[in-house]
Amino acid sequence: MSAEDILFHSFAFVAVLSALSVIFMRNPVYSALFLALCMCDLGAMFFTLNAYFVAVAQITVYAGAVMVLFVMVVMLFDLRKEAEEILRLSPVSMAKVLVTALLCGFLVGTGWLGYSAFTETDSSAHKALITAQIDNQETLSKGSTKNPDEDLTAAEAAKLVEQPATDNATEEPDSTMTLSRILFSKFVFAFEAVSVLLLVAIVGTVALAKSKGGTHHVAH
Amino acid sequence: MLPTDLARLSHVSLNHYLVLSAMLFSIGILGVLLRRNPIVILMSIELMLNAVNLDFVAFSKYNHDVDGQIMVFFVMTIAAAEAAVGLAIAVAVFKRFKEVNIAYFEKLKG
Repeated sequence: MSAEDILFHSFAFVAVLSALSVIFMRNPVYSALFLALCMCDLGAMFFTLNAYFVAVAQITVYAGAVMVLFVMVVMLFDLRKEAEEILRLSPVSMAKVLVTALLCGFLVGTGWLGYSAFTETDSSAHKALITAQIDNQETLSKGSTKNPDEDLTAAEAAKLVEQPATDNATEEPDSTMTLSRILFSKFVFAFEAVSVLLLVAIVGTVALAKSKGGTHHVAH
Repeated sequence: MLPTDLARLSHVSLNHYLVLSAMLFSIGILGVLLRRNPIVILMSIELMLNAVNLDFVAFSKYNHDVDGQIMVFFVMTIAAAEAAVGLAIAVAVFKRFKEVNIAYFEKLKG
């Protein structure tokens, strides 16, 4: 167990525990606080995944802004009437739990088995490419008739195999700079569209919050 | 369990992140299905979006591609907008009915 493994497992434990507390706490204030804990925990996990800017954005946007919004709204409501039963022992809620457990099993199964199968085939293809390349070179050195086309394909294959490694070396150390460069060049239209969406959301929220007595008129 | 499986289990890989994200997503779905309070339902939706964000960042690290992290930004922005609008609707429902329950949302008009 390396330090990274210990960090992952402790963060994962806290994340699952706080997520369960979010949905099983009776008092919505406690739910909101456990959700903030879960967000901070995931932000720390983003740090361990070398996504530093995303981690800081997660903590400021989610654990800061969104959670303050939630806590403010929860405190606006009268909570004393709020004694709902969460797990009734009715067939419907048992069916809900069962279906969700089934979905979780499917997702965990695909996450655990599916991607590992994918990477194994990927690495086997990689090996096959390398062996084909070696065979190609051997036949080239042995054979009296040299074929320039095959030589070219072997060189291309070698370049393709080596390319990911060099990409890692250039992208890994300064990921924030790469992130901003891609965000403002390749995704600049999506960025602008999201800013328009935020404006629409602000206007809609203010209009909804200013309306008196609900969303439709009732003669009192 | 085979010894190779155990070795794979103790070393953190992409699969660990996928499994954790699947569990968080399922917990979010369970919250949406079981709870009646719309604020807790919105929190469960945030939980699901966070699970997806974790997937994006993990794929971005293990595939050495920064595009996943940019998707996380868009998901975060849209989640913040959705939370603001959803909470505003919840406040409007509370003003009208003096209680907040998902059952009142079917009386919304226009």
